[in-house]
Amino acid sequence: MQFDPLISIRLDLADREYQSGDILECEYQIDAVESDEMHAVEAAVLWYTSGKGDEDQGIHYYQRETRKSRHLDQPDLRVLTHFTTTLPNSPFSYEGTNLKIQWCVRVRILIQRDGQNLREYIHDQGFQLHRLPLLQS
Amino acid sequence: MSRQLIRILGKKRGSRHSVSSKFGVIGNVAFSLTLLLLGLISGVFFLLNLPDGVASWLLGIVILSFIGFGIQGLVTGLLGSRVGDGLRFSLIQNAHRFDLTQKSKAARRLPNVPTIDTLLMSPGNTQPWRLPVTTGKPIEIISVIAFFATWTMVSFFLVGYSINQYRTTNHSGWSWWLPTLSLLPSIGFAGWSGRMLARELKNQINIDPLKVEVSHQPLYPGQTIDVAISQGGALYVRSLRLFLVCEEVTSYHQGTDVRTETLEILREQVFVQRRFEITSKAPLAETFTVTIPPDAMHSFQSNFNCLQWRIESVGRYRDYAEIRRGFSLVVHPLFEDADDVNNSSGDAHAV
Repeated sequence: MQFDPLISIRLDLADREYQSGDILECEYQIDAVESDEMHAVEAAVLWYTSGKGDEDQGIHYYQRETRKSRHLDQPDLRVLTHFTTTLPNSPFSYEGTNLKIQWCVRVRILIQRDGQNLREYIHDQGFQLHRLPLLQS
Repeated sequence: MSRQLIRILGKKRGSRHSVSSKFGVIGNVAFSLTLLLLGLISGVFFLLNLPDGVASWLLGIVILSFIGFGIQGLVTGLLGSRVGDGLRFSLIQNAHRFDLTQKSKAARRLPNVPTIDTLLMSPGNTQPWRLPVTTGKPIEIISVIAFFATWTMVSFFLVGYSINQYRTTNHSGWSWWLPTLSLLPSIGFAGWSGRMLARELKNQINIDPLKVEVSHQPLYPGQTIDVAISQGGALYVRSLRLFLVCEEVTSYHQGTDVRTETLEILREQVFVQRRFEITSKAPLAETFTVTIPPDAMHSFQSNFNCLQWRIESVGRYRDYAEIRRGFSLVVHPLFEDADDVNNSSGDAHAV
């Protein structure tokens, strides 16, 4: 019996609330899959809309690693990987009626098992991007 | 809910996509690739056996359009797919690297927030910025003009044709009385649209546009600005009200239609004046303050969704229909290196 792979994402702030210009630190790791089954790993920091309208998406940070692109001393794509990015000034997280803007770290992996076709697994870890506190003046 | 791979027949009800999106992308790319190959192959044959005259131009245009649409479909198809996620990101990053214009810099500083340069081209008289009117009735008036012109031409043509047929034929068959019969409805349409046009033009000519000027642009949440309004002409105003409006505008596909829905999430009355007269010697000129709510969301713009701010005026005048106009505002988010909220945005010439 084969289990789906486990994707763990950890952000540096436990409450997952960031302000524009903050540095987001993230770690992710993949388990329950063999190393040689891993084809590629993509990590992205992005926002997407939900609600009544069609989905819009904006990618702020993106990295893709394959076995070929990895250094020879660490070809395993499952290991704990760390990245940082400075969060942009907009758009902020928003909970409207017909429109919602949500930020997340998305890890997408491509796996090939026993000669089957490539399968993708996606895991999101949402966070909030807020504005700076109002100026006193 | 799982989707079918292909559906030949059957009406789509409710779901956003009728078949698998992957199949859609593959179909789009295959079609575009076929079109491109067809264009390229026929282009080679065209160049080898170049025809003379108009045919060569016509064939050349057709072949070029095949190649153009093929390339366009291929690029948009690939960018729209999951394969395109990384490609699109890379393209945007590289495009930004070479585009050093101020607009691009502003867009990079505040992604998905509308820039204000096009809105701020007009300095005001009493305040630094005059807001552009974003909702009037230009399309309605143009449509009425087109409708009126079409039916007037049709009526004239039918009159001329009927008279000509009546004079030249032996008054039998369908030759003259059928166009004469069609004349009545066409004159009716022309008269009806003419009345509508006259009413619209009367409103446009007799009522001077309301001018709205603001002390600062862009605006920030929690900021208070001065707003000046002015209107000339000779009018008796039953009421003039101004509102600060924030709305979510969402577009979505429903079958092959694209629908847009607007939902107001804030409507706050910021000015009201009732029963007064505007004359050429005493035009309307008022100044008041407007505060953007401190917890307000900034303006947001993306392909299918946007959040927009505006000032809306609702005027009721004696002898005229109610007139509504919208004036765009741009609310920027506060961030660390933003301009000073109270000082830096009042210069109308620093565009």
